[in-house]
Amino acid sequence: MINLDHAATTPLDPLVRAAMLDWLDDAGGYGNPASDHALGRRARAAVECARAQVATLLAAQPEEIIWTSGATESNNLAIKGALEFRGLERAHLVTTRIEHKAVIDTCRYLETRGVRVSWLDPASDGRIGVEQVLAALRPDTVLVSLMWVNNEIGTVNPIRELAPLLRERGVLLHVDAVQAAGKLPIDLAGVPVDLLSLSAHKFHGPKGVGALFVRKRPRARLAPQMHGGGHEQGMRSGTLATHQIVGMGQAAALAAQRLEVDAPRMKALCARLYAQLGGLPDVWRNGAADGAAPHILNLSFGGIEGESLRARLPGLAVSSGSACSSATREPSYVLRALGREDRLAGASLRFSPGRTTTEAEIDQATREVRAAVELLRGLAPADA
Amino acid sequence: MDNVFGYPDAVWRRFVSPERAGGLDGHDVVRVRARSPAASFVLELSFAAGPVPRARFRALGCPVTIAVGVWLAERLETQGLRALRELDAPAIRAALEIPDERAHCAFMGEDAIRALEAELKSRVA
Repeated sequence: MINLDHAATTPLDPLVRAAMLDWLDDAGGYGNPASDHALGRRARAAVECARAQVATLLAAQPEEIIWTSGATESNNLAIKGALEFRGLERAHLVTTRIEHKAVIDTCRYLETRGVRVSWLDPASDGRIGVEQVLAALRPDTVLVSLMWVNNEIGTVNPIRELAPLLRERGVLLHVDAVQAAGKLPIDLAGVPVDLLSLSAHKFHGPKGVGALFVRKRPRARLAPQMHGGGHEQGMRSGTLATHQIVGMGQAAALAAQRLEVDAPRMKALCARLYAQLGGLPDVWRNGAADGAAPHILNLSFGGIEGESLRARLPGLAVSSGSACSSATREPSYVLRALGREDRLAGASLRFSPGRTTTEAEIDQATREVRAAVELLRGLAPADA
Repeated sequence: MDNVFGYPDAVWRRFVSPERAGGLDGHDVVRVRARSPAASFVLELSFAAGPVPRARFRALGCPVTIAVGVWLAERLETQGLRALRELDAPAIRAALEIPDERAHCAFMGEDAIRALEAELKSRVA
């Protein structure tokens, strides 16, 4: 199996696994990090070490990292927490139509609670412009929620340019950075983002653990979404999962160490893939090539249907834009928002190489894709 | 090739080895198309009746759509005009073990057969 779906998840790094096992196997590793005795203090020290490792990946302060169960929870806590703390009445927030569902559905929920939401459309290359965001602001705008890297097409949004402009205007900025962490440098010491979501399993950490960066100065204030023992500075109650957190910390440390090696390598692999597939007739790149994230390449193949393409690639793990599970197909909402017609939105593949992907695997994958595309086009009516 | 997505065997066999793909030429050839508007799928059948019936298909669609095309071409070539009377959506679904959520693929096959029947009648008239 050739795995080109690392944007969905990544394998656990052996060093991460080893760090986690220390806390699962060790007879003294089960302490509750909130307990004030030797076992608890030992676990708490491990948790705080991991917190510092994640903070280092972001150029943040350790006390600005809040542990969560993953990016979905981080996004919920950031958006609902910020709006509820301020008060939902006459509140306005700005987001885009191509965010991850964890943001879109959270914003839709808030709409049902009376919050007014401005939904921004991307340009045809998938980008959201700084001026576009600023034009959507209103006197009652509380928050802008914008992903750093789009998970389907790899487009990079102008967070560095936008963040200081929102700070000047007193509007909070939440960034879903799930696809950016470990792929792009993130410098929160220099970029005034207020809230930022992470997920460990996207950078070779374990599933089930994530983090939310919550800026201390100036302080971004959140209403908790989980009530209980007042853990995590009162923002996220619940006993901390020491082994998961240690794993995320180790994964963050590795991601920070390897960023300068991994990012150019993934970019070269995507370029190799595109060089071999982009020349086929009726193949379309989704998202801007210029300045894209290094690890995501999304292509549409005209003249074929996406589910058939994926079915003919059983040895390849890639993400597809469609599935014919009912009479009404629903191609990717992201590609539709870019203006791609349904025939192309439904026949797309997202390729996302990872840390261990080789050039030989890329070459084999492109051979298989070319063969499948040529066979399926041969079956289709020429003028369909 | 592994059936990793769990398609019915009857569908998978035909999708992997799509026999009778293509078109036919000649004055005796009838060519019809059916579409699934919701999914933008297309199924084309070419059929030449006669002592030795010939049939081909073309399809743009999911694996089930392609399998329906393969199977209809098989039936038309082996049964000739008799197939027109016997083939409908329930028969297609039963033969290919098509589940409920894919029933529209079988209906598209039935549409193609009915269009073929109508075209042949119009030629006779």
